[in-house]
Amino acid sequence: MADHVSTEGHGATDLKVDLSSYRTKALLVGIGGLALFGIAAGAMVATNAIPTKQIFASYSVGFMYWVAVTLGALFFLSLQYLSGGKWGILMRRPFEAATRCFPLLILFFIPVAGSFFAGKNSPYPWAEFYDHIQHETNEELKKEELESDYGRRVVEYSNPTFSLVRAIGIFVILGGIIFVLNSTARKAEENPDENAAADARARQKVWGSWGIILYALCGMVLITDWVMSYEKFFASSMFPLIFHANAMLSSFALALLVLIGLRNTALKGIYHPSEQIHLGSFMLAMALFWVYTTYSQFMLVWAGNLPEELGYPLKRASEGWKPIWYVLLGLRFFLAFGLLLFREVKSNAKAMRIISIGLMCMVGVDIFNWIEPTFDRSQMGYAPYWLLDIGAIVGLGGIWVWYFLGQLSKYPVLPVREIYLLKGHHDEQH
Amino acid sequence: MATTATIRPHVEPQPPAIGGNHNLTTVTETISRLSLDPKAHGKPWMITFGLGTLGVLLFLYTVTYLIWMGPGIWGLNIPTAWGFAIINFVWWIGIGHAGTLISAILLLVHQRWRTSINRFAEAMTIFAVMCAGIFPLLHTGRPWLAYWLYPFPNNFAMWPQFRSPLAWDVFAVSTYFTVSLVFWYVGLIPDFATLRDVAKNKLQKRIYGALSLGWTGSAFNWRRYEKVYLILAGISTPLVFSVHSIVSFDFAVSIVPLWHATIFPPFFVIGAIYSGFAMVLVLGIPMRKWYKLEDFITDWHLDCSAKVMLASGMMVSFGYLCEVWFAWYSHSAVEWESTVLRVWSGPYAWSYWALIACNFVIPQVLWIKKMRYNMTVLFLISIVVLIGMWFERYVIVITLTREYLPSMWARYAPTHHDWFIYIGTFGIFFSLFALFVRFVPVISITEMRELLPKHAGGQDGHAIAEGPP
Amino acid sequence: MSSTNNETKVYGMLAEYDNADALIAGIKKAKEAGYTKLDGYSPYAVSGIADALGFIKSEMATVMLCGGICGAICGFLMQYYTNAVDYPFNIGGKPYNSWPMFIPVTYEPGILTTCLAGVFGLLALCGLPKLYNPLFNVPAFERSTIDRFFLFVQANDEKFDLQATREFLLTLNPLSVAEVPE
Repeated sequence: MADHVSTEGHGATDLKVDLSSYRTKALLVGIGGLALFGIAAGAMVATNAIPTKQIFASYSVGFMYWVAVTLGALFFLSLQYLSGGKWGILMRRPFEAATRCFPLLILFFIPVAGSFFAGKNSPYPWAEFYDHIQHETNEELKKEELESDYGRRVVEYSNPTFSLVRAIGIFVILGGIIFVLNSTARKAEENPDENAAADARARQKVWGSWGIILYALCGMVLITDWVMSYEKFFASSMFPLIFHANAMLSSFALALLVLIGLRNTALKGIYHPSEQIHLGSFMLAMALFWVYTTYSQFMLVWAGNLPEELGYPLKRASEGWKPIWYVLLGLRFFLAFGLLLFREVKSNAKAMRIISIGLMCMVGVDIFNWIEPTFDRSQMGYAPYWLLDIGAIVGLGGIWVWYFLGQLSKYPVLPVREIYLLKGHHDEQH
Repeated sequence: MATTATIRPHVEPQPPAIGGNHNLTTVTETISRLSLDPKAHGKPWMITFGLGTLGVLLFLYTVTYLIWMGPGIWGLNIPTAWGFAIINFVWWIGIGHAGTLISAILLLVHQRWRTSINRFAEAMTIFAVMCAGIFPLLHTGRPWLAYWLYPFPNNFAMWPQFRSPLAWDVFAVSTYFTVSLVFWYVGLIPDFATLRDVAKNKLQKRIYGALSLGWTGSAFNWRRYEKVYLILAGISTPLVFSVHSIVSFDFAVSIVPLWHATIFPPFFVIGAIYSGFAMVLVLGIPMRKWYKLEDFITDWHLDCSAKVMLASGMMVSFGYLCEVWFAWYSHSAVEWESTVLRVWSGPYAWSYWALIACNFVIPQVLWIKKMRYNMTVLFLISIVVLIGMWFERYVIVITLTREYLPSMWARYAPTHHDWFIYIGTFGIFFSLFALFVRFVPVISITEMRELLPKHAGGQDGHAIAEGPP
Repeated sequence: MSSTNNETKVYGMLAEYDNADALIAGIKKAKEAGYTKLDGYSPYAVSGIADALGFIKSEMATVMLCGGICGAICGFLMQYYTNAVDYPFNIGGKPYNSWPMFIPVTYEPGILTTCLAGVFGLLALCGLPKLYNPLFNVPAFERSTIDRFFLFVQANDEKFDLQATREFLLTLNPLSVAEVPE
């Protein structure tokens, strides 16, 4: 077999890729996106077309998008270390590189943290409420508001300082596990001492299980604090899973894009259409998982008909917002489902590239749909505030991808010690 | 790059899916002997079947009395109108799900270790769904009118009310039973053909011949067969999710405190898988010992099952955390007070901690590899998990004892008739399972052949898993 | 079973092998020699055999997809008709056409009919149940479900000739060759 993975000749150095031209493009796109965000925000605030809180809200759409991608990668990386499997040998490096973009998230978080303390300019109702309580002069009213259900929550939990403390905690915990996962991976791969490497591989399993546990716990707090609290009374225990569905899909699509991009260079002879069929089926399962979680939440809230929950679907089903549901349902579910059922589509690299990009866009639409319909825009006219959302996603994304590609080209794109698994698979096929 | 040049791939071969030295003929003989030769079944079989039959007798007695007297002989009351009936319904149907999971999902994700346990896991599914179906049927009070649950033209000019999850349940459970049965039978057709050709006895030849529908193993038929089998696996996977989600909707569509939780569907599904894997281990560990199937159901198989059990247990535990967390976060007085009653100050708080102990604390032992390879420990932990998952449903149902108004406050206790029927369903389950072991190949002969190494006549793996074009 | 009786009608000719690769090689040669009505029998699914026979893609996926779509549509229409048209009934203020609550019973019948279309389609296309099959007249064929692989040439193949086909099959290195009486 000519296209065999020869681990002898195909040394680790061959598997390194030079992505500098893509990096420059990504950086330019990122700067363009941020410029769009800045100019649109400046113009619209100056003309009083949008309130300041809109800037924060749009920014957090972009921020949450890249949180989803990074944390999805953390999940898959941990899962891969824990359970093995051929899919992960191929995708491990992109996922590792994506998790190493975590420091960027801390940087990106600064404006979000600022919005916690922005008082009445904050998009978060609890931050607004907190500020309002501080300035309430009527003691009786103040007491009454503080004793309401919402007031108690703000005092005990959803207040700016405690929210920031939690955010720092999340960054420390997740950053820590990401650091440990990556450094163990380096040892397992690059330590020339076989015994030390075997040790590191065993530890990868342990850290992988911790990775998933910490991801689940931190993800639950994070999505509650940063997104769900946009709605004053909405509390849905399904919400972390909906976030998870998006995180999985976006990071998986990104890793698939990397594989497709490298299929004719570094991964030639290693990445086959048959692998892509499996990965495509995986993606189909994720599309189904999203529709499953989203439908269940929607139907249960709709059927329950309780005032504190119903606001969430009602706002999103009201005029003007409905088309988003149609887009999500049509493109993200029916189209993805219809296409990914067929092996002909799944084995076609170009088709899969389009589907991956399309699904990544759909994740953006879903996150947009979590956050933007929250605000009452009846007084706002028709200002194209959504330009800010696009600018934020693209702007932060450009920088994120620039950094990601840098991380990706630092190490061989495949774990050299584990390649034999692919080879074995290759033999089985013939 | 001097350092990278010295790196060699480490080779860590997967454990073999078939131990010992087998080839096409010995695989066929070892497995088909169990169905064809009565002498292959000794005392353990007699005891299982005997006890099972006693359970069936207990069941028949209690059901007769129940139909005579009505469900008042149960401990049901208002507000706890759903007592043991729904606890046991959910418990049994949950157990069934692991069978489908093993045959379908693990097939789709190319896990070789599924192959030797899928057949008996599927049988477990079918019997468990049968046991499950009995409870809602009896709970209707007039089981002879159960066909009213289906939409059929009738002279009351009435139709079922499809905005009720109970109507969805009827469709979900009957679809699940049908699909499981079909999936199982389709898998069995080539094995029945093998039994037909291996059997020496005329009667056996006739019966297995009829059951095999005249299967010959033509390549054209195999290709169609594999595609159908693969798609059946593909649709069974979302089916498992949908069925248990619909079961969870029975609770979650209502607005009873702690029932109306959006996380219920996946939380129920994963709990079902958890208890199902526990049941697979409870059945598999003694079976492989009694029938000396260690070559086919290896320690590795049980290790994998234990790992899945541990993983699903962790997810279930995450569900418990989510429930408490969101009850607190919502700051909804009803939700939070119900939670406090459930976990701390209520009369049934003990059952919540029994649940945590059984489902979260004790299974942590499975992190230790040595324990996963110790069959006694694994068997005992599986039983603990089964008990824990029963308590999970108990804890949920018992929430009914405290609803919004004092008028809805009451206590609930099962009567001995509740227990009799529950024990009776064990009788049904185990006697059916014993009959299955006696007459049907407990391991898929056909698929085991594919797993054999090439030099022994196999294909080194599973062709279906790779997927025919 | 090689005894020839001119009076019994012949259904075809079987060549026996003990491994799949030999059978696949045999099928390929028989195709090259111009035989068209061939079949291969194996104790488990070997994709190479069907490929060699030229049956690359089965019809089952289409059959099942159609079945599933029909079932799902019927499921939804059934609920729509019964709950929104024929017997509209106000439940908890929900609309008569409560589509979010009609999804489960749209989905389940869809799955059910996919499954049933698959299994009945399979039986119909494979011509099962077929309890009498002339192939069973050959005692050696019993091992086709155990550990032997068979190449089968149908008697209604244009190139089929009792003597010539037997000689041809013997050139394919089988363990044995047998005639199948009707």
